[in-house]
Amino acid sequence: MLQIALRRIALAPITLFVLVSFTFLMIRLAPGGPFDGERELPPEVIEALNEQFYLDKPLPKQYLNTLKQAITFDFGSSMKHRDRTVREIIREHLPNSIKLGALAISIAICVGLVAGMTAALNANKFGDWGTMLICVIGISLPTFVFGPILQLIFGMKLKWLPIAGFETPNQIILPAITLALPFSARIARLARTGFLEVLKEDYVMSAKARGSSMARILIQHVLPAAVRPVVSYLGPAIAGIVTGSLVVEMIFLIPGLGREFVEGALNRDYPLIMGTTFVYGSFIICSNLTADLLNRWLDPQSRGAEE
Amino acid sequence: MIHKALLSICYLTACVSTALAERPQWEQDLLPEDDDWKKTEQVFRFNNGTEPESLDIHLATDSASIRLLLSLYEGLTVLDPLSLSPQPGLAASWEVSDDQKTWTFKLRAGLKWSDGSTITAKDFTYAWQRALTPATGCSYANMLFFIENAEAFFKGDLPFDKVGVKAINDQELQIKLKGPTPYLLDILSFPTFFPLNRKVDRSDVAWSKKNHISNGPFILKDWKVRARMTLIPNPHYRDREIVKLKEIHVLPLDNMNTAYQMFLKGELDWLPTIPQARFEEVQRHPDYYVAPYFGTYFIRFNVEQPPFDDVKVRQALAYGTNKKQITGEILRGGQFPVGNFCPKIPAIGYEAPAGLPYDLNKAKQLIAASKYGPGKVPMPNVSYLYNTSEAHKIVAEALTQQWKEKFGISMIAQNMEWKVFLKEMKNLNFQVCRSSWIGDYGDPSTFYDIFLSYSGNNRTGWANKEYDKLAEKASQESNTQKRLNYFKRMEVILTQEDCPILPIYRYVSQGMITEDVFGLEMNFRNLVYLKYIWLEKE
Amino acid sequence: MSKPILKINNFSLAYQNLGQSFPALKNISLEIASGEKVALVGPSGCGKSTLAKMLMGLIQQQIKTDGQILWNSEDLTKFSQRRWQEVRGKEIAMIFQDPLTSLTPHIQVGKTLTESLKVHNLLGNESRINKAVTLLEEVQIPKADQRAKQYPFEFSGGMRQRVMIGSAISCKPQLLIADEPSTALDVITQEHILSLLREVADHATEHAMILITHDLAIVDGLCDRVIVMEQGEIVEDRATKELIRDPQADTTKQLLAAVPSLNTPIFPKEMAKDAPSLLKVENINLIYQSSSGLFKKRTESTHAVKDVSFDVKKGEILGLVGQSGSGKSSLLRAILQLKPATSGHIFLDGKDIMGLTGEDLRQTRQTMQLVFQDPQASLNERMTIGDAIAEPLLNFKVCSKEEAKERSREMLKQVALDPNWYYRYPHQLSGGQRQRVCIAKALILKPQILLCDEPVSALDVHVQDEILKLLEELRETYGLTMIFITHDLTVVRRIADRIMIMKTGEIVETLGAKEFLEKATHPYSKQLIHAIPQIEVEINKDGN
Repeated sequence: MLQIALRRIALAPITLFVLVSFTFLMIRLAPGGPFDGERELPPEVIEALNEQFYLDKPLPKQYLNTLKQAITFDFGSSMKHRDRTVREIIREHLPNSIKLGALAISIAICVGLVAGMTAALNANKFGDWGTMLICVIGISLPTFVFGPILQLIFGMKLKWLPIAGFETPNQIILPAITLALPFSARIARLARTGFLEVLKEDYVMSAKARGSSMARILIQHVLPAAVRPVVSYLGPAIAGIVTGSLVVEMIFLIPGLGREFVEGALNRDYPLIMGTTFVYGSFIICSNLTADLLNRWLDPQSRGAEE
Repeated sequence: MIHKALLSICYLTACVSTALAERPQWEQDLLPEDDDWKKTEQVFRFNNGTEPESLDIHLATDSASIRLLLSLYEGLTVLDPLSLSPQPGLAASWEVSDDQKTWTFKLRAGLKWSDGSTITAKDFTYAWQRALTPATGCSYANMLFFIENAEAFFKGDLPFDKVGVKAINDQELQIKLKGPTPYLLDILSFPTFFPLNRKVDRSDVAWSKKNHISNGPFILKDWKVRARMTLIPNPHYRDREIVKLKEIHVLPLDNMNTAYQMFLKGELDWLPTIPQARFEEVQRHPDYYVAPYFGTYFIRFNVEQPPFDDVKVRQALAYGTNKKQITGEILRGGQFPVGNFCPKIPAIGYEAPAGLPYDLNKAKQLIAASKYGPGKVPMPNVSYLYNTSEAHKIVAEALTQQWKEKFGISMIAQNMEWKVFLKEMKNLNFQVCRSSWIGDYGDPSTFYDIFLSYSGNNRTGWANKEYDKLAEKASQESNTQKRLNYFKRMEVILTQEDCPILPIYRYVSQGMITEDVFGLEMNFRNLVYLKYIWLEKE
Repeated sequence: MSKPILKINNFSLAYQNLGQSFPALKNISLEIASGEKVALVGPSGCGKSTLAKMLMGLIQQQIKTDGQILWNSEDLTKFSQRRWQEVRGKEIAMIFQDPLTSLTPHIQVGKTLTESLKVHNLLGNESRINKAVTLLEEVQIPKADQRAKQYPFEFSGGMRQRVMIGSAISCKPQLLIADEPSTALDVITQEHILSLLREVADHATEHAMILITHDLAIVDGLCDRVIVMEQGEIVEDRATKELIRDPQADTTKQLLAAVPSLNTPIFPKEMAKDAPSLLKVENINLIYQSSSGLFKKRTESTHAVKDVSFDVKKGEILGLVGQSGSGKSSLLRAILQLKPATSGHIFLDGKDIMGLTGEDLRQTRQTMQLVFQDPQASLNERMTIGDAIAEPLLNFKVCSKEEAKERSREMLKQVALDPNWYYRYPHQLSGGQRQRVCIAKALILKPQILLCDEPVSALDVHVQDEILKLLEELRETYGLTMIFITHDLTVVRRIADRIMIMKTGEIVETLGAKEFLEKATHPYSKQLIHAIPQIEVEINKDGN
């Protein structure tokens, strides 16, 4: 397993290289440039800016420069917010995204597993239908609807929590729940299927025949096998939570990276797109790798393999 | 200790006496009548709508940045927020030559930067030179072109000492102009013309965040990007005593719904924009306000593309578009329909001709007379371009429906992402598209200049020699009335005769403000000087 | 006889589903005394497993019961969850049919083994791992101290069943229920497990045991008494010897008749010495390479097929016998070129088919068809059986869609299924019927040779019999050549003309079917013959 991990880690730089190259190509193919605006800039200014941002050079040179920037992780300053460097933007905003994402994924896992398990244990009964109905709502209810509802209930009516901001610890709760909702619903569905499948296994029956209590059976015999589809989903889920936080960031005024990522793309802010894509790319590679290894570890047969 | 206290008492009395004796009437109107306000905590919180692009006066172009710069800095002049007429700012007085081309500004005595150093005339020449250096990347550099040789320096043809701006001494700044520029005093209040402290190292891109030395009523205390900005009074401000707020919190919320909820909960005192989706509800709230705004929503015709290559078609659409239906039934956000392009500018007494009225018969006659009339060239299909946004979409749909019903023009509305839209518009790769323009300074030229044949903002393919000539004449004219008449004629060419554009409605600024806030005067330029604001609870 | 520990009085049980009632047990009455070893025998679906599960409180479905089951004079139909937890594992323990799926894959074997002790607080001061080692030794698993820490995947089927037995006897239960404990295992392993059970039974004279099986042959020597069930009712309940000698109920007679016997007369075809070979395999070797390591490549090789040579004459059925892991499936793959052999030659009808690629290979495969062990897995659940049978015709573009349909119907008739079942789906069929569909699918292309990989192992005795009969008929009709792979000597003896025994990749012995029992000399062949459970009492075979 260690070898698989090492091999995958060794592959990561290649993946990132492909990602950077592809992104470079795509943003230059996208119509419109970073300095286009409603108000036309004087040509001399555009020329000066192009020079400043290396855009006056031929494409191969720009590409090499981009590669150099990626290797040194120094993408220069943003084209839109010219008094901020990309590195600074990432340094300031990534921790917030991670904080929010980590809490959201924890909520999603806890709520999802409990809901999925409850549903599976009450398969085809009221508890199951109820939970799954909530899940369908959770998946289909858009964040931009759910967030404001939470704000209205907990911020306005009950006045328990602040409406927006990211300066005090209690401000993270509502956005984390909002962000977690669709993921916990999806996890619940996966967990339900997982539990249902494992509960049917002969070894569950034989554990029962040994006199084990339901709790013991669930935790020791069922859970490790039942969570495997959930764990497989965690890789994409973590990536989705971190990159998909844009709407939540906007609703709850959170200085996260999702905002910068999307605005970078909309503004054709080449260095910012590169920097954020690079960070997200690395993040997704890491989370996929972790989920994959965790999944292997849960299965003793593949845990032992190739060791 | 005693000594210090005594000193401050002296200082206070001195200030009070200046305030009473020397403060001009327009400013006295903006002061509280008594001292009751002191009982209220002077912390003002508002939503700035988005993260400011930059607090570098030469890089900022967006309204969120400009709103802050107006309170962090001060230029030679300031605008009276009520009448929008220019008033002395850093300049105590000025003289102008008979040909109105040479201005000499005398700075007030004892002006200081927020770090305590003295403000001199050289800080202006330094800043303007920076603005005119292309490498700075100042988007508004061409705003300075009315200064003698400024354009030549910008293009690299002349050195800066040939440019018509000179520090005669520390206190006096001389500006030489290409032609009489009646709006000079107005435009000098704009951030591009502010001075900059020469000691700050601007090679570090982050200077405006880390080392922000300014000269206005407030200074930047803390800037948490995309979270909160905190402003506090500048102790070295020339008129420290007029600043009543102790702290200002600026939030960059672009989710208007969240901002609205925070306002309702009492976490914000001022919302300069409202959530359009909840307009009906907001409108009924007692804290809601609406004010006219210095901007026009219009559509551009590509005059090189059929059917808009025929002026009769353009005129017909100008007559035949029911704008009242769009503003009154579809948008319902307080906007009002207009036929002209340039808004009213009361400070200089300008009111543009009203434009073409809604007249369906006339419109139909014009279509019939055009080369796309019945029995002639068949009316081609049209595509209407707009950038992706709900508000633009509903206007596009309304226009499509109206033109189809009235003229049988089959039009397809096509939306595009902002940058793609801009590119298509710039390359004249469209037939008709939505547009808008917001004026930068209090003069009609801020609107009319964009349709000069050589303007990069023209984007219609339209060129009119008379129009260009009128603009040239206006820039050389020192008689105000004559000058305004030139502009009126330009308006007529633009919106009645040639019609390369079709104005739809005038923007309004809508917001919410709590009744505890005083001294925040809405004007049609949306210029807010935070220094006049105070809070007073009943 | 000591007092009964289990007493069932007029017990009836019906499954409830969607308001309907499906009776599974009817008026069952029986008594089991402590120390008694009882066999519960009957064809599948007779209710024996339901009864066993009822005794453990393991029935998941909705049921309705009537009557009493007294466990030490307590009515267990009225047990609470808590009481059940006390009973299970400690008072009544159970061994399940399929050892491969009955051990939790992610839990160390030692932990599973001692779970009963742990949950019933019977571990005392002894550490769990020590206890596990003791138990493993008790069920005769070597290197017990290492084994205890391993996971089930590292255990063979037989060893897993040993673990299950160890776990079941760990708390010294008053009643041990063994539900078909050896059915899923191959002959030799089955023999080992049964002897272990016999030992366990002999050892614990105080404890009662219920052995559930459909195979009367294994009952003898293990149980004193046999209870025969049929359609939810007890049809016969007598001492073992007596019942075997003089069966009364029809069910008992049928069960006895179905016992695979080495005494059954067989009539294999004798092939002429000079008859042409259809398939000739020469010196086939198959080596699997598995590599590991990031920088240094370590390669492990498994020599799955070692220098195998044989031939199959036209119209002959060649039986290939071996335990799992003996290399018989690998050999099959090599012949089909699914996993090309490392070296050697394969001639089909005189043409060397080794190393064929592309279209040639495709055409060759068309003439060799395969029937798998698991009819469940080899049919697409979403395709009607008719379409499934017609599919190869369309894949190889043999004929038009219409004709394919017609031929498919014809084929259904051939395998004794109603052609009107064309539009049925696999889940509507029984296991035997599904295997018929698989055979039909394999035959539709009129192959020269049919390769059957354990085609009847997953089926119960009756159905096994029917499928074998079908294959025999088809052989007559089509003049089929067949390689028949199995681990079951009784089956192969019945159908094959020649028997080839394979062990660890090598062919150890090849003999004609008729002479096999007498002439087999290789110790492994002898072991195979010996392992087949035989009913030793002379039986009266007059009945049907």
